[in-house]
Amino acid sequence: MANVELKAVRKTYGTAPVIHGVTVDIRDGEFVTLVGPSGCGKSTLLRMIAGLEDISGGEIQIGGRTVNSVPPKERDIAMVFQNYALYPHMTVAENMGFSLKLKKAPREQREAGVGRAAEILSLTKLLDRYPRELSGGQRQRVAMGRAIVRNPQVFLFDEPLSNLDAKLRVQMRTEIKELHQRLKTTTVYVTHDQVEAMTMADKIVVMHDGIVEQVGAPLELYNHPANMFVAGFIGSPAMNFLKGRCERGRFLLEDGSALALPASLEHLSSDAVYGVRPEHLVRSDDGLPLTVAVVEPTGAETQVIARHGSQSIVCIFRDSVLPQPGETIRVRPDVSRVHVFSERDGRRLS
Amino acid sequence: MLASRTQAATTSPGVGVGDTPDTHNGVRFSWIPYLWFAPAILVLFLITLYPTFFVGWLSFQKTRYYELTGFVGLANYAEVLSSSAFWNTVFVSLTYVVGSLTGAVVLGMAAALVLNNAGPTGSVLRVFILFPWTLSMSVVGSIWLWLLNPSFGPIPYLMQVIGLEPGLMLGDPGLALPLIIIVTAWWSFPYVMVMATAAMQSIPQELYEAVEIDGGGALVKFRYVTLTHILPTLGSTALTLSIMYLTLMTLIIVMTGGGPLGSTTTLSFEAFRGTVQAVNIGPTAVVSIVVLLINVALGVVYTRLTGRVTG
Repeated sequence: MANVELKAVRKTYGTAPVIHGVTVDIRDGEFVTLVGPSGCGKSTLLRMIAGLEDISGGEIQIGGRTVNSVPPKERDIAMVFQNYALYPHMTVAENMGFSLKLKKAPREQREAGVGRAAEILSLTKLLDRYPRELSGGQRQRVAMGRAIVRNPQVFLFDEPLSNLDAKLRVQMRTEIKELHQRLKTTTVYVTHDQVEAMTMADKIVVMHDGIVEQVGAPLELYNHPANMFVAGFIGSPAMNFLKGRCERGRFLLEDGSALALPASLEHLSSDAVYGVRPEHLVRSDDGLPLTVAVVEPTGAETQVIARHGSQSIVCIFRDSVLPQPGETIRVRPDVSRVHVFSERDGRRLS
Repeated sequence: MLASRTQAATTSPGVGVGDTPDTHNGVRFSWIPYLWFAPAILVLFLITLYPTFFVGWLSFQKTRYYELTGFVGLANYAEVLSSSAFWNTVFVSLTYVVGSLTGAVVLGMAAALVLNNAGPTGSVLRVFILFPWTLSMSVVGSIWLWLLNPSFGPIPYLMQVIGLEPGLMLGDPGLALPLIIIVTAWWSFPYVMVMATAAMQSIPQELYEAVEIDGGGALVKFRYVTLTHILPTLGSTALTLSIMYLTLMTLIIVMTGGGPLGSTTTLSFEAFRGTVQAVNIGPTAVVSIVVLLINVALGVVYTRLTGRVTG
């Protein structure tokens, strides 16, 4: 087990910078997800930790040892790839034991290692099968088994669930989390799915355009997003943003309607963006009037997409009385859960 | 070539599901699909099956020039199979096929591996390397005939410069077959290169990365990822080439005419010589049948192999 430290890590392809000085401290035994939209550099960063990409600047330490120029096999890490990367001509057992074979470990040790990992992942019955004979979920488990057999200091996962169907994804998510709770190996997990990030991680690193936007525990990011990007990325459906102006303790929308501001911003007077999550809008007779456009019931809750002028606003209600399209409803934000961001740079003001 | 035709001929049409129901064994049967197949089968019969059966029939006939003089049973077979010249021809054929194949596969694989790692330069070079494969066999033969000419060819000259005795080159019974093998390998290795490159480019990059993390070097990557991945393609390529080499004779006609002293007379060349030059039809038909049988055998292996690859 080991901690992983990234210190001002940079990556450039030719002259194009893709990672601009990322500093993250991953503690021993922590489950950290790197999350962000496609092209934000999260996979590149993971591959740099693995040693599959060169580091253009900064320093990466694993277990206190600088690994910038250490080849992957000597970093004591194991990686699970998006497409599993199982060797197609080897059986499950051979796939899992391949790293030990290359280390020239004796047969008994190899079999013991593979057996132990197979037991953890309930793969014992599949050991003689070939990858092509397995389902997607089983292949994913074999890929994890291959990582476990190495007994590494750090597990690296590169979008491991994105090739699975929705149901299996949820199931595997739980399995990976359970596995981590059992083995307590430091884990870095890359995903573009914020739900995956929220549900699995001890700590989330939100990346965007090669920089870290915010690092924190899932609920910390949800409750106190540092900026509009994190606010919009974390949480589903995404937070509503309304443009306007803070004035005399109220937030005035462009059409002049007013919304309540948190007490801490009473004296603020500037252009700003008002952020409120769909689940923090409540129906209230003296609220903001909205015209209902689409109603999407999911059973437990109902998502309503409504308009205020040209602005689209998403609300989530848990009551069973559904509004009709075209109907006008009035909603009020729960003022204790409202976020206000700077109009200029998107930073959080509240 | 013959083998692939024979395979095609044995491909039977599926059970028809047609318009006129006939509940024989509960399966609806219709003649309509067979009717659609008929023209194709007819053409196939005329251009492949009929000549093949005709050669088979000829092999049981006594012939004088182009005249058939009666059925002789297995006499032609007995004559051919007991002659030492025939077995020498079989040996030359097999040496030629195995030698050319080894050369083409080794060169083709090497070219594929080197160029696959050479980026855009590799793509350009690949086009140039493909050049020999695009040439007609008689042109290839003529070029090498000139290159190897003991009086004015550049290769014997260069050998002399570095102090080797070039000798008679294609005129030397010990050298002619190795030289023809080298030329055949030179001509056909680009085909192996193209097939191997195509197979290599379909290997997921992640497998190499997995090897890196598992702790393997370049040799492990080649042995456990590249080679195992392209082996089926390589196998079917080798079989296609074997079938082709076995029936190939243009190069031999142009370069050596089967000589010197029969040292480059392969089965196919013998079939050509026996029919066209010696006009000894009956026994030569036996030689053709032997070539056919070997090719059918290779064809069966080929179908199995490609069946396994695609299935």
